[in-house]
Amino acid sequence: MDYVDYTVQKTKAILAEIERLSASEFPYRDAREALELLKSEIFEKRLLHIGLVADSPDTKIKQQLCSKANIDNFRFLPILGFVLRSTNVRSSFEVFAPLLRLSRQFLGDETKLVLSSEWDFSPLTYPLVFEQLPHFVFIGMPATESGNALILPLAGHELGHSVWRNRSLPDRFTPILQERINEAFASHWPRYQEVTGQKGVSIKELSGDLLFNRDVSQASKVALKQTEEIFCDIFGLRIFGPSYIDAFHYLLGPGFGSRRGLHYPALKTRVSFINRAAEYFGIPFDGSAPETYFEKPGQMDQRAQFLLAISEEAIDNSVPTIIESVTEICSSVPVYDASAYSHIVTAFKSAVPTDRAGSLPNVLNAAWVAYKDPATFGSLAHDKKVDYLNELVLKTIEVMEYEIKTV
Amino acid sequence: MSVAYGRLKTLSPEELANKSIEAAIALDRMIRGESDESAPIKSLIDAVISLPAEEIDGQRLMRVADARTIDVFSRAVSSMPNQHPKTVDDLAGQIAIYWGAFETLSSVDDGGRLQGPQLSEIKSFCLALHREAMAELYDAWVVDRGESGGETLFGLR
Repeated sequence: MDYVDYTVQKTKAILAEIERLSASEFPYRDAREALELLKSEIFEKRLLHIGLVADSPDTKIKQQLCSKANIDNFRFLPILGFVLRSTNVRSSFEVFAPLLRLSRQFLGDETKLVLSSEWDFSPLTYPLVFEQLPHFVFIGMPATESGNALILPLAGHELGHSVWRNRSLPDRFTPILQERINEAFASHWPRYQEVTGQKGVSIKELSGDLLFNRDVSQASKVALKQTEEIFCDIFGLRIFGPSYIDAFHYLLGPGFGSRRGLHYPALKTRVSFINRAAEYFGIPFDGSAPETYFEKPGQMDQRAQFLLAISEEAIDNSVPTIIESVTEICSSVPVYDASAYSHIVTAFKSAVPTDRAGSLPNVLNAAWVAYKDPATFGSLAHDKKVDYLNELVLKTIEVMEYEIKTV
Repeated sequence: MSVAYGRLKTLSPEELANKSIEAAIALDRMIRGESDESAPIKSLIDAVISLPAEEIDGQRLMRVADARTIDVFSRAVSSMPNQHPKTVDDLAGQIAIYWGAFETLSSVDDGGRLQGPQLSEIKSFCLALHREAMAELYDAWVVDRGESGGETLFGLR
C-alpha cells in the first residue's frame, strides 16, 4: 500500500473546497488571491509531484510525498477557514485600510493582508511563514472582541511576526543568542554536569559532541522563539504606545495561573520587558504591573528546566539588542507624544468623533485614555461605554482614511 | 531568505523540506532515465550550506549552520546505513561527501555524472533530510502551536 491514491483523493477534495470558497464574496481581493496561490502552489503542485513519481518503483519517495501532503493539509486547511471567516460581517472593515497601510510601511508595498474574526481567544497570525504565500499577512482577532476596537493594538504584535521574518531577524539573533547560550553553559557548567551525569568532562571537550549540540540546539530553539515574542511585544509597543500596554493587560492580565509553552516567555517576564522598553521609548507604564501577573511554573524534568534557564538567561542579556532592532526598524515612526492625540481625547470624552487624527495609534491611545477615565460618558453603563467608544473610534478612523485619501 | 557565502544561515524547516523533496524527485527521475534536470539539486545546495564540498569541516560547519540545522543534518546522516557521526567533525566529513556528489550533478558543463548506486545513495540522503525537516515542521506546527497552527499572542492551548 503506498497511500498515493488516498493522497490524490484528499487533495482533490481540498481543491474542490477551494473552488467553492472562491465563489464567496470577499470584501477585499487579497483573500481571493491567497486562495489562488494555495491552489496552484500547494495542492496542484502536489498532484504534479505525485505524477512525476507515479511510475517510480521507489516506495520511500512516495511515502515521503504522502506524509508531506498530510502535514501540509494540516497546516493549510486552517488558512482556508481563515479566508472564509474573513468574509464575515462581524469584522470591522474600517480597520482594514489603516492596518494594511501599517503592514506595507514595514513589509513593502506588495504586502497583502487578510483580516479575520477568529474563534480563538488569542489574537493570532500566519506571518509570512509560507513560501507559497509570499507577502501575505493573516491577522485574526478574537470574535468575541470584534466590537471592541480597544484591543486593536495587539495586531501590532501579530504584525511584528511578519516583520521578524521579513527583516531576516533570525539571521541576526541566532549567532547573538548562540554566543550568550554558550556563555551561560560555561558559567553553569557544574550544574549541567550534574543534570546530565557528564561529570569530569570539560565544556571544551564536549564542544564538538553531537549530543551536547542537541542540548545547545534545544536551548537555541527556545531562546530564538521567545526572542521573537519579545520582539513582537516591543514592536507593538513602539507602534501603538501605551495603548499596546493597555490592550495587553486587558486581554491577558493577570495571566492564566499556569505557564504553558516553552516558546513563550512567562507573561510576568513579558510585562517586565515591555516596561523596560517603554522606559527606553519614553512611554508611560505601570512599574508594578509584572507583580500582578500570576503563573505557576510548568512541570518539567531537571534537564529541561536547566535548558530553559539557559535560554532565559541568554534572552535577558539580549533585550537591549531587541530594543535596538525595533528602534532601527521603526525609525520612521514618530516618537511617542501624548499631545498628538490630546484633541482626540477631548472629542471622545465629549462623545463625538473627530478629524485630524493623523494615525491609528493616535486614535487608539485616545480611546484608552477616554475608556480609563471614569468620568467619560458620565453615568452610562460600562458595557454601553465600550459600544459608544467603539463607534467613535471607527467613525474617527473613517474620517482619517478620507483625509489621507484626499490629501 | 538571502544566503551569503560563509555566513550563518537560519533555514526554515519548510524550505529544507520543500527543497530536499524536490531534489529527491529530480534524482529519482535521473535514476529512471526520465530527466537529467539538476536545478532542484543546485537549489538545495545554495539554500542550505553555501560552502564548496572541499571546504566543509567541523569548524566551518558550525560557522555557517546554526545548532538546529546541524542537529537536523546529524539525525539525517545517522539514519543512513553505517553512519554514526559522534562529533561535528564526523558529521562535516559525511556532509562533504554528499555535497561533493551534489556539486558533480549540478555542474552540467564538466559532464559530471554519477553511477546508479551513488545516485540512489544521495537520493536516500535527500529523503532523510526531508524526513527530519518534516519532523521539525511537525514539532513547530502540531506540537507547539496546537490546532490553529498560527502564531498567537500567548501560548495557551
